[in-house]
Amino acid sequence: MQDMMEAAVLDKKEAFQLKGSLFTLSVLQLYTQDVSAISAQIAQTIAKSPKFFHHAPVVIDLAQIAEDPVLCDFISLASILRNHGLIPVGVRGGGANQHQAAEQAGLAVLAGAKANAMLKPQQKTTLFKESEGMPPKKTKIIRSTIRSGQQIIAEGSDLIIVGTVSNGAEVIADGNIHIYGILRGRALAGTAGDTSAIIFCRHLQAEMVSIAGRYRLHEEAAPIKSQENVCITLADGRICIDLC
Amino acid sequence: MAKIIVVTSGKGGVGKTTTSAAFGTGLALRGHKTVIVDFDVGLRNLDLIMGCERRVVYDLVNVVNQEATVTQAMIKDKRVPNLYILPASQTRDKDALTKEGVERVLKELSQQFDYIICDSPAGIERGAQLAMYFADSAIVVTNPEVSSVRDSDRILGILASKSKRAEQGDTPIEEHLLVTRYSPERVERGEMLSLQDVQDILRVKLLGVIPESKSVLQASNAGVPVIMNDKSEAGIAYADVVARFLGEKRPHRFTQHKRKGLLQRLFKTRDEEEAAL
Ligand SMILES: Nc1ncnc2c1ncn2[C@@H]1O[C@H](COP(=O)(O)OP(=O)(O)O)[C@@H](O)[C@H]1O
Ligand SMILES: [Mg+2]
Repeated sequence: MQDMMEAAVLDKKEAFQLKGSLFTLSVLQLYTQDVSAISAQIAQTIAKSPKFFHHAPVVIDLAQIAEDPVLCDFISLASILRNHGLIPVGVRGGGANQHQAAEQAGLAVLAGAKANAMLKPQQKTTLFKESEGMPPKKTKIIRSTIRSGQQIIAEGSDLIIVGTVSNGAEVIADGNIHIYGILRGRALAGTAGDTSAIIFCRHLQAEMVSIAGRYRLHEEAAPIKSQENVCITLADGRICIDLC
Repeated sequence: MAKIIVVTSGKGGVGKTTTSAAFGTGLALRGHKTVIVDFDVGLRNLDLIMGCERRVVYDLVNVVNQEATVTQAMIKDKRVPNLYILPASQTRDKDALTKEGVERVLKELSQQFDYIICDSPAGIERGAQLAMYFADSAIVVTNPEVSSVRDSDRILGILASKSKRAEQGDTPIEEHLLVTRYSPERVERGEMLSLQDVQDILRVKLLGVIPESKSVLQASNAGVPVIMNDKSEAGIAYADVVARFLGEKRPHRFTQHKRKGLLQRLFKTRDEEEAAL
């Protein structure tokens, strides 16, 4: 899985190469289909942090309105998002009718059990549902520096990095992440939706940290930085960085 | 069997070709039969730095395409015995090389030489990947500045995952860090990353530090590898690098800013005089 982002370019003469890649996107979880109410709240949110949302790609989450008998007007919804400077890329959750309507509005339907696990936080999300009673998958341990451009993924398990994660590198786990070096790049824990996942780190200088899809970017005003042991958790939907 | 050494960096203009020329010449001066191969197809300049550009008839692309033999294309250095250059093509683009072709050429060279130095083009694309793919050892050339260090980090990642050794699960490529164009004075003024910063980020064994020196440009204009100038700090530092690579212990020099004594202030060093011109 290492270096998924740049599969070998040797001996290829095609015009392009299709690659799989993981991205962090903002999710707009809708509680209503009322387009004007949505528009008003977006305007408020953007007023608070205009830079953050500028040209940000968003996914529209339909889980909470899946049962709604009225079909959402995706065309106006998408244009309102665009008018606010957001870039709607697709929908997730929801029913077949909604998916059809979304596709007609030019939105992608993003699939996935993983997404669904994140939709309903009230349902306890366990990582190892299918294998109840079985021991969890063994922790993935990497004993080296993770370099810029490299990506380490621990699917269904915790991840331990005995080394430094460079700027431009990415470490990803469905479970917790422990880093026994400097975290300079990005760390994404609980990617299957486990909101209780934790990132432990001995020296923090990260570009981004994320838990269960929520993320925080390094910003001058709010740097992600610490010389001491920290644990990074999700509390009330916010990323918290605490000494531990 | 030759040892294949790639000189690589990611970023351009950091001193790969200067290093390939100096290092290859240094190995030959110590009696090892060495060939320096220019992989920078389309931008050849190894032959200029080696002062043999007028003797180029065939090039690496010709040999890879079997339009010429290795023996026809190689240029024997006129000053140093045991030293050969395999130039790149100026007229072709870098897609002219194939993995199979490069492998065949390197195999053939392996039978005649002790060391094969591959001067990599900049970037992380095909050309750079071909230059490093068959390497046993890598010299990662880095300037003490953020973008260069970042690119070197990227290259180290590719060395560890996309080389033949990595793909076949062999012992990994031996990695060496060479910091070039180092100016202790500018580090002290906070204009450059320090040696410590660079090592902290890259975490690779330091092979050497080459100071910023006017004599490098003069050497390349004259077509004489700077290592042949034993009055130049850069030349001396490159000689140290070759010695260390061959297993000798040598302390790192030219890494501290010298405070000048009275005598030194009166008699400028040769490098400074050249710089002042
Ligand atoms: N130690 C040094 N001191 C001063 N100038 C240097 C030094 N090393 C390289 N240079 C200069 O930097 C430029 C780029 O060097 P080059 O070896 O061609 O880099 P690359 O092959 O990585 O593109 C050249 O003009 C060269 O003279
Ligand atoms: Mg070059």
